[in-house]
Amino acid sequence: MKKPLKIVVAGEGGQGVQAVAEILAEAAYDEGKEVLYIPAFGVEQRGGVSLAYLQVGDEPIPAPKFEKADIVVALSGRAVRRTRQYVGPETIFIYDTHADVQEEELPKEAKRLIPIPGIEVARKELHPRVFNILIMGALIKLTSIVGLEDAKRALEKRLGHRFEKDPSLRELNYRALEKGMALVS
Amino acid sequence: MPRVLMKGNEAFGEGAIRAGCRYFFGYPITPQSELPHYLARRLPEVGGVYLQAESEVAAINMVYGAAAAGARVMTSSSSPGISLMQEGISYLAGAELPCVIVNVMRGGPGLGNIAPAQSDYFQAVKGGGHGDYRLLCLAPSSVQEILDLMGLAFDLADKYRNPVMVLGDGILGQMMEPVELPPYSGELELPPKPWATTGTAGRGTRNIINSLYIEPEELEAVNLRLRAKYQRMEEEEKRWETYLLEEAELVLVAFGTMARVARAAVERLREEGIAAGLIRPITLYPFPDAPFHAAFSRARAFLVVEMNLGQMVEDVRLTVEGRCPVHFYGRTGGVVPTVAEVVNFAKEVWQKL
Repeated sequence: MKKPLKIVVAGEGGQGVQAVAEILAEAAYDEGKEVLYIPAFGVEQRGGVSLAYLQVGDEPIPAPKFEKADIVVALSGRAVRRTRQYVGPETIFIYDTHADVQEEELPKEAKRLIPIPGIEVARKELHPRVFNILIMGALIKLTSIVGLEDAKRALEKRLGHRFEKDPSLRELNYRALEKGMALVS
Repeated sequence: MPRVLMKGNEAFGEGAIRAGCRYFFGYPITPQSELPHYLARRLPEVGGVYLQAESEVAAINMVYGAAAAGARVMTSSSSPGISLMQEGISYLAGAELPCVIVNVMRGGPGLGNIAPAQSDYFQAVKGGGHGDYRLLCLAPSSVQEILDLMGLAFDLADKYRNPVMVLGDGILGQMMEPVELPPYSGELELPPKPWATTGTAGRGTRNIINSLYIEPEELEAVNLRLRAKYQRMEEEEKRWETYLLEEAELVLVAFGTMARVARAAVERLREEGIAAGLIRPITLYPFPDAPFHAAFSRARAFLVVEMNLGQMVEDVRLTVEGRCPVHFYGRTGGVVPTVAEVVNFAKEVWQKL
């Protein structure tokens, strides 16, 4: 990984976009990677699209912002439109099939477009609150920035106190991770 | 050494705690609010005081009081809030009180916006408040450096009995990066402050903190004493970092967040065969002239890049004194120049040489 991997995750406030980026940043960092994470701050914080910029690499990350991302994850129609500027011919673009988006609004210039039924699967097979963990699973499968076990450890670090109270939550989160990985394989 | 992932705004706070700062007075404003938020939790843990004042004007005057009593004290704000503090900052400088002021800059002028900017350079470096005074001004460019420079900021404030300004910006405050946290025992041996207003017990004479001198000759003498202090800062405290400066023919100059973008631009320019290098001032006042002098023999042009419309570039011109062309590229209003923009501009400059 000579150049850092550049990732944008975008969604509606409440979809857990910042938590995905932060847990991934922690997980990659615990594996000895260099990371830089910037939560988009601005009017987005007041009920708009929430954006997280994450870079992971082997060398210290130079510039905090970037022009084109290697991976863009857009979880709503507005997020698809808002992240278009980060999509180039080398970008993998992941979007949720439930996002309110017209076919022509999808960034055709992307290297790959990957629709995933995350919202639906989370609701029907898991629980809506682990939707973001499912997305995280998809991301680690596509990027290999961390392994499944590293991701589990990072989840444990962040949510361990809740898992203690209710061990079924741990089980639910782990299943969400694995389900997310399966959705993109 | 333990490494943790930390937000820039939190690093300002943790750096202050580790430097022995036990008093914070401030008022919330985006994009620095995580700093007071962090200290509201951390300061009581170490026996310190966190107080949210009713305004920035009140906060800076509380800093004045605590500094006069000999405490290690700080405040933080973002651009409009720092403007409100200017009268108090001038008083602190006039009364020779040590303190640390953090400005996590946002877009201006006026209410502006909450996006990252560097447009308070003039305010920080050239005055801001009234009178013939200077602030020592430090500009970190990573979360690690924030942590490290906060310790230096408090030490320099005490050494010179002068307020120290630490300049960040919205990106630096908000971003998370790994930092190394050296072991921290909790207790520090801080320099004695025999001038502080701590009561006359055991001393006999009263200490007076003051910036009012009715007689012009007396005030002039104070100003001359302050100037001698600033000259000592200029002799002893200039700090900078260079990157690929040896052999550089096109020298980029940038501070803070912008220096990271510039460094990435230098790497790309090198890949394209252009002999670029970087000077990153760490102290903005005193402005580091030595790396410029070292660059003159080879440099064919300087290119200053800033998140404003040209402020530090004036200090670069004063330093270069016409010996070499100085170019400028900047974006303002909260827009952060991209690496590609800087590279393209640098190539234009290069082609015209």
